Amino acid sequence: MRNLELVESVHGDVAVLTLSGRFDATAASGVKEQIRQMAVSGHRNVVLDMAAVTLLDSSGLGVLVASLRTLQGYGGRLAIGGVEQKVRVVLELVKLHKVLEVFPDRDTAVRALHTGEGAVL
Amino acid sequence: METIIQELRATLAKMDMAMGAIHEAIFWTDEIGNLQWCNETFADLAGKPRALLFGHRIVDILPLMQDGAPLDANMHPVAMTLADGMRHYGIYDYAGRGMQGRIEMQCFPLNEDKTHCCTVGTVLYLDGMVSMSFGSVQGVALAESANAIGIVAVDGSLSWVNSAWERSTGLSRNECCGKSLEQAVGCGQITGEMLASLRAGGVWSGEVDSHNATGARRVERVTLTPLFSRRGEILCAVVVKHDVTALRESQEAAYEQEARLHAILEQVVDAIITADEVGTIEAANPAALSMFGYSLTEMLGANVMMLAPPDVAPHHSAYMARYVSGGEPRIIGIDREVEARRKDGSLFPVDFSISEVRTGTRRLFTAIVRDISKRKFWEQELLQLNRSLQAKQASIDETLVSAAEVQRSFLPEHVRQSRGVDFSWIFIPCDRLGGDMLGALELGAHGRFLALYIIDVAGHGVPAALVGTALVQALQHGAENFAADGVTSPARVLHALERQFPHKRFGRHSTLFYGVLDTVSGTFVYSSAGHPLAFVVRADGKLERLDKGGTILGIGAPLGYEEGAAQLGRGDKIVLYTDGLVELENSRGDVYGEERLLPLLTGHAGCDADGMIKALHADIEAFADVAPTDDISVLVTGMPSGEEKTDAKP
Repeated sequence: MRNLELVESVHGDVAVLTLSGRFDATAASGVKEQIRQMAVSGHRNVVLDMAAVTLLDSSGLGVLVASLRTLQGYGGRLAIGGVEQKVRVVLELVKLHKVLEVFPDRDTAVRALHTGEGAVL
Repeated sequence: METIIQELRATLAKMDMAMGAIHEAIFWTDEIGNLQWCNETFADLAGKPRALLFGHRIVDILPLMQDGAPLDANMHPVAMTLADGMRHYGIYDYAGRGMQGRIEMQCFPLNEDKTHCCTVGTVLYLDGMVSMSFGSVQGVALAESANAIGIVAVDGSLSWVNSAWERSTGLSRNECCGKSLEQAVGCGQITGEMLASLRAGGVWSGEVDSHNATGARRVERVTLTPLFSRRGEILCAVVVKHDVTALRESQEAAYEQEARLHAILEQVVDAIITADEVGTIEAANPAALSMFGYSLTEMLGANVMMLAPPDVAPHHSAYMARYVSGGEPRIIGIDREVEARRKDGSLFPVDFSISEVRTGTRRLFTAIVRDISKRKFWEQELLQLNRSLQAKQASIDETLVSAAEVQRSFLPEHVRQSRGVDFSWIFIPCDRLGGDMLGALELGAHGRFLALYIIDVAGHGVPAALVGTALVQALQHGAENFAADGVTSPARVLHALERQFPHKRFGRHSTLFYGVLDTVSGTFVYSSAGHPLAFVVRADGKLERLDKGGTILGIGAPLGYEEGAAQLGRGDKIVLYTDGLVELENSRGDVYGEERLLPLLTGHAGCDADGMIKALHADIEAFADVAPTDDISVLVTGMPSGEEKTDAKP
């Protein structure tokens, strides 16, 4: 079992957090805190690149919801850029794909947060 | 005159015979190196009668070899003596007509007048040792000795060296001869001492430490012995060198090792005490002195009994005597914890090991003692702490067990038949307390409606269980309140819960499925908050997912809560579960998944609710070889196919 790896990068006024591995209870608090730090440091628009996330469980879902609330609190947005089929199924199961902005890939998500375009999933 | 001539001839003949009887070959040549005279031994060596040798070049008569190659005519000792008027000497290989082997040849200049130089020489056949004189044997022995031997002339220069000298210096005999003693021995200061000793007529002996041209170290034992004439004048001196480099280096290594050991003994924190067979202390390191509080004077010569506790000391001599007389060792080589006694009488715990050393006929015992007072103290502390932690853990465990009982009290009876509906469930929390809750609730007049719910609070353990319990209470309260007004809408119940359980209140979200079954009509109306883990299993095995609803509870119901409905007939069942079931992973990394669950539901469509639950439980146990990491809950409710269950009326 691979722990979740987090890599942060900045594309203009959009910050990207790239996750790879299992997004579960072990990783949850780390991701939540990372996004909170990003918001505090002025990155209100955050793209979560989840293309390399192999598993998303209810703790991971909780982080997505909490992070959405955090960024909205700062007047920002959270966009998901790219999800694997297994992860997409989980999001669809709990209907969060209708609540979160989910884009086919990271670059589309970054462009959307620049232009304010909506989700296309 | 004739008489004189006859006497002279007789004298010459006698001399000739005398010369012939000598074992050494003797010859002389004229100034160009032609043989003038030789004795019979020389003729035997040359392999021809004397008469045929006279007048021939000696370099032709005695062709010499050196190192396997013919000796250049100019290097022949006769040729060299004729050239420089000096004595020349050498050992050569000879392969003439008479015999073959090694010969030693010496050639001296003979000046008949100031202008003409002739030579006189001797040849000794070295391979004919048996017939050689004792003096010759000594000469050969010197030449062939394994020790390097040289002869130093009165002026301090080398006049002869043996083969071993050549090998040790890497220089040929000719290169060595003529060199000063200082050059030969390689150490100026010591050479001065040697020469002073030599002049005083004494023997000098000592070691010379030097480095050769390649920088390699060489230590030699050198003895310089003067030889005196009968009148007491120093004629020359014999130098004998013996290479002791390896011996010296091994001695130095041994000294260094001993020094290092000594340093270790001085520095080590363990006490090291050596005693003889009767326990008399022979050595103790500084750590031993400070550990036991004695001075070295007090320690040495005392008996080791003074270091043992009073109850052991009286037996100590007996122990040692028993062992020394061949008894079984009880402590030799064994590391053990015992008590030791300081000078002030106080006892302290030590790690103690003893080993026996035999030196010649003596038996010595070396004890290594480590003061473990601090370790013992901390062990005791740790033990105490551990006990206290265990007590606290037991108390926590007890609390958790009680809490789990409280949580279970919210669960319905395992198997229930109510108003023609049967009901069964499993609940497998991954901790003592779970974040899953499930249940059923009778609503409406005469309990016509059966409300079913399953809740999955994110996370598990105590916090999830508390939220789950609170949700159940709120749900039951809401459902009963609405039902009292004749309303059984699941969506309204979910909206009410949404208001009471916003995400920010507990920092965690929940998913929830809630449905109401009309036990008379068989209509099932439901909605879910992000929890479509629900199926209708038809009596014929067909499956229909109950996927209407909204998203997870607590984020403001952005999608609302859509209601769905299903009509149940005889033998149809509703199956609700949590994601802990489908995400269950075994040690091989396989996931239980809907791929395994759905065929099982189809396969057991003909069973009653409890039969289906039992089959599912058995399948989970067959699949999972490790403890689950999330709570697993499954609730099955159905309309039995049997006739006795279908006549229930409100």
